[in-house]
Amino acid sequence: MIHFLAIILALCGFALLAISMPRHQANMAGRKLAPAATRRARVSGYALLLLVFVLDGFAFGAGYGAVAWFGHLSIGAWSVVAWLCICVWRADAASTKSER
Amino acid sequence: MKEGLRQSMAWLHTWTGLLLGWLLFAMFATGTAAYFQDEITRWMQPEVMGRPDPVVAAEGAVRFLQTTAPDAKRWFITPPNSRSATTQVFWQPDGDRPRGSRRDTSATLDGQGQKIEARETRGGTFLYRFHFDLHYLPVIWARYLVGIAAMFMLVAILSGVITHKKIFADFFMLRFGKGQRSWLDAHNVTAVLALPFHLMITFTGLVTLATLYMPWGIAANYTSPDSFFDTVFAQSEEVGRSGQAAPLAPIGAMMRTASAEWHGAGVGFLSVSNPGDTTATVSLTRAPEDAIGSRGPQLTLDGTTGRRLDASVSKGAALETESVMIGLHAGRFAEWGLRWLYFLSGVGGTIMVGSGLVLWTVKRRARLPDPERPHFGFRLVERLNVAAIAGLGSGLATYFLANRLLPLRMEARADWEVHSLFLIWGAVLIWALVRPARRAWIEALALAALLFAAVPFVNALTTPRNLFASLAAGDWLFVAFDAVMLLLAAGFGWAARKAARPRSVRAPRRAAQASDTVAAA
Repeated sequence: MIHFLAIILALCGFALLAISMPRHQANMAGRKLAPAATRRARVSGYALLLLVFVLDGFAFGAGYGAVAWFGHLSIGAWSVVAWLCICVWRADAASTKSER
Repeated sequence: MKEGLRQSMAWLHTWTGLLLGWLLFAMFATGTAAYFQDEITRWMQPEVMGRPDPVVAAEGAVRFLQTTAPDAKRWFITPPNSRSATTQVFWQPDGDRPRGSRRDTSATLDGQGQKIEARETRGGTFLYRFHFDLHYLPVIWARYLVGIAAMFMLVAILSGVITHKKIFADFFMLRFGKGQRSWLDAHNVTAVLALPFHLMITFTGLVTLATLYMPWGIAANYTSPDSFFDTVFAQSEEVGRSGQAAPLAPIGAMMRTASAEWHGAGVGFLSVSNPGDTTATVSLTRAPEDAIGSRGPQLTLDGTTGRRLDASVSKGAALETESVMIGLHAGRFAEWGLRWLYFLSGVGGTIMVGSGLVLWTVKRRARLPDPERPHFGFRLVERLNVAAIAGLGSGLATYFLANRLLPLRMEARADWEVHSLFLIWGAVLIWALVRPARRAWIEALALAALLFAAVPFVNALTTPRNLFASLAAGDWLFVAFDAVMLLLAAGFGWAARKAARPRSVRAPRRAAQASDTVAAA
């Protein structure tokens, strides 16, 4: 269960980091974000990744926790990549529909 | 001098990645599967059920050995852990006897110490051994080859990081339907997002065989490699039998003594010297699943009294580091959640190597003088890619199918399971050499998809442990195995479909090329 929680938190962290990047904002938020919001997303994204580290450390101990943390980060980040792909596909599908 | 650091690193990355890339792909794929080697073995012996208690199983193993090999020099017992279901025993016959084959001096036992009646198979152990010993090759050559490949991998990772122009800007980028760009994205995303894993696994992989690859430290300081190993991993000295018979003290009590010493950690391995003699000693080693370090502490007890004789001295910093590095690589300590993380990271690594291999051809196809008649090197790489990626997939699926389909009482059954893997792998290679490249990709990928999809069905037809029975019984190991087979089938099927529809992929690239040409003009 800790693994799921950690992966979800890592996913949220990376999602915030992705949304802080201008190139992904249109896909994820539907618009460009203001600089302040972008900065908030970036800071809270990194904070979440740090939180996952602390969570893993408490749940599994320092050694196991560090190993688990890297695993959780990879799975979380790959999930965001998959999410972005779905966003792009849906946007493409919507645009071809409206063209018709 | 126009060529900058990045260009030279790109060159290094391309060629170190390609030269042994096919071997690296096989190492990544089988190594990833080996994280579940105990589970694969259980799937490949569906007759074996239950979760035996290690202490009861070890006591049973001692009873078995007392009747089978009472005068052996040493017994070695690996009791079941939380993942395996059987006890492995082997013994070293008394010096005078001929050694015989390994089959005569080893056995697989159930939880009560009875020889198990199950199909003969090498199970997940074969995939684990293939990962670094390969097959049909002298082990030592294989290990040198694997070591060179791992060294190239390390160079490819480091040069890849330097080559990658936009690690952070392209961190989450995966664009489909854009030809070369898509392959580069896939390569980057699988590489960068698990970079710590890839670096760790490559480096620690080299460490596991470091004394083989860098023997000079030992050669300079010890008279022979054996004297180094004797000093470092102090084996209890061999003592001759006294000739006076004495019964072995209860092994269960000894295991409990050891567990108490290790704060409750289990015993993973036992060796009994001079069993049945007054000079008997028992060495117990901590189970590898109870700590990251792969070389757990040892405890030696007097075999007749159970009195404590000796405990392994604590290791120095270098040995402790080595132990933890090997442990990190093998992941034996990982409980199921962490084990899946290891597995998924390994899958990422496998895709990274595979996409890198494909990228080499995709990148060069556009620049071929005549795309219809590529030069020999290009054709070779293209064909080897088909054989390495789709061929190995088909081979692995066949290995599992053969386990279910070969006659149960067949002579050398376990060997033929392994042969069938390589027969299909070889067949795909030949197919890839004779067919047009694109057709070869489609057909080989589709074959792999079909074979993987067949595994759960053949399992359902040949054993009572089908997917529905496993679901009803809560047998998650069998459920997960079937599920992974179906997912692999879906993955290969999707790849085959993508390969079969290249026009939608090529069109935008042609357009992009055209605009590039226009821009250049």
